[in-house]
Amino acid sequence: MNINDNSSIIVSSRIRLARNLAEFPFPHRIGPKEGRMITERVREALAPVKNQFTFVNMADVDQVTKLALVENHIISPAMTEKKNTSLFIQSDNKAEILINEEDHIRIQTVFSGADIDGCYSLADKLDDLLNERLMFAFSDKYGYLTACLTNTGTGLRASFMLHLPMLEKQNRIKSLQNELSRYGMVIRGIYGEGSEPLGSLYQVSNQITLGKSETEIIDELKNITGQIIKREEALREKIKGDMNFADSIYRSLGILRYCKKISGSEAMGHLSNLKLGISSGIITGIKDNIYNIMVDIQSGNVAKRAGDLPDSDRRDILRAEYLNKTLK
Amino acid sequence: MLCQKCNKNPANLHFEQNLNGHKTEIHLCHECAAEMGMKAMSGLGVDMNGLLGGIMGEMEGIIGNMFGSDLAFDSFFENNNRLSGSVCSECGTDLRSLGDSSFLGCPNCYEAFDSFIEKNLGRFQRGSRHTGKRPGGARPIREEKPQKKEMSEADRLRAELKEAIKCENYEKAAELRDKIRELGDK
Repeated sequence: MNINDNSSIIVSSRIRLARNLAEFPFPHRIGPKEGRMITERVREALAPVKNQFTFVNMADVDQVTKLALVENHIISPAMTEKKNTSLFIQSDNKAEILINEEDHIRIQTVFSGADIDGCYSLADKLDDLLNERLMFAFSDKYGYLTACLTNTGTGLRASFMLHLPMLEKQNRIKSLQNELSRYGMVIRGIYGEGSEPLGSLYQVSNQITLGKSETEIIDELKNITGQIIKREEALREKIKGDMNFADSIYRSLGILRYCKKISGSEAMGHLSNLKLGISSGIITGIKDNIYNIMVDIQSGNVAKRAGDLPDSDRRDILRAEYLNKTLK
Repeated sequence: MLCQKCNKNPANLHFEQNLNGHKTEIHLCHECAAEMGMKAMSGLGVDMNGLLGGIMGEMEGIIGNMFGSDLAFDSFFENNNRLSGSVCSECGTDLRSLGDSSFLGCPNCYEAFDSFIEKNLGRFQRGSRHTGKRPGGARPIREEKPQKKEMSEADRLRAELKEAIKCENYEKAAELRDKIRELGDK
């Protein structure tokens, strides 16, 4: 199955490579001085492409911006709590290099759509560039050595973000979870804590990082994702032409266009419906990337645009205004 | 962190004991640990408990009442024979804390706890050998330990001393320590 044909279900592709400098303890065992030294080493190593990267020291970032960075999936929630952290963001937002999160260096690339090969290729190049000047912790046996044993070996986490509203409606995610774990893969909700994933967005990624090559890991991920997509498509096919289905999608569009106040979770449900409606051909004429709107209406991003800290009532009003305007 | 005895060298040996909820930590460099071990050996024979007890006796004098005078220093080392390889010599992570989580302290931990990792890796991974990408391309500008290139005689002896302590060859360690002293480079 050619995975590149399924961009309406595949929202984005992501690669993460974990690397550590051989001569320093792992980030949870270092102090501010070592933290700065590691940051400077990376800065030096990035010198040949320094014009492409913006440096952000997490200590200088306010809470609202941190939250927005988490919502945009640039940093992990854990990184907002950690000390000595910083990041280099590539100007086209396709790559970030995170410093002193769980590992000294985490190269992260995110492309929209199904271009996981493009993601890996860019991450691989950045890895080579950093490796020209940095001595990475590596052993013949365990590969790239990481702070946590769950990442050692390739240090690679490859993932697709998928929009799976029909599988979710049919309560099929749980069984998918069990099935995937047998292949060393995992599926989890993107937004929302625990059992209530919002927007029917899921991330499928590899859990096994040792004993398989990068290509094997990525190929297996593509294969599994192809099968998940087939199942989602089969369920979508079944409801084509169903008036109740079309009705629920138009209702969602109506609410998003004309609501005056809306919570994040309600908006996510309607946006997910709208995304499904667009990819099923029920709704035409909306060219916006619905996933980007989903990110934009998260609380941190709403607050960031407002430039202050709106309370939840005002946030719901601002969210509605943004949706009305964007989906006009 | 500096060695609590000489306050000069980085501490690479870390000892810890939790006694009745009172946590005690001692941080030493290899040289001081060896030196203290040697003194203990001359007085108490070569048995391990005596050796470690001797180190603790010395430490008591150095650190004074920092940890309270009623602490059972001897049992500290009798129960926590950390010189024998259950602690990472680079970062002080011990096997117990590794067992509780899947986190290591530093890259050297992979070597220090190799057999433990190999045994437990199945909890996290399917394979046990890396088959993927390897660091390649140009050589790094910064070598891991550039001083190795122009290692002085004293540095070389210190490295040997470190190795001797690691192998618990304290007689050799004592000889090496004396040689280092003779060089006046201590």
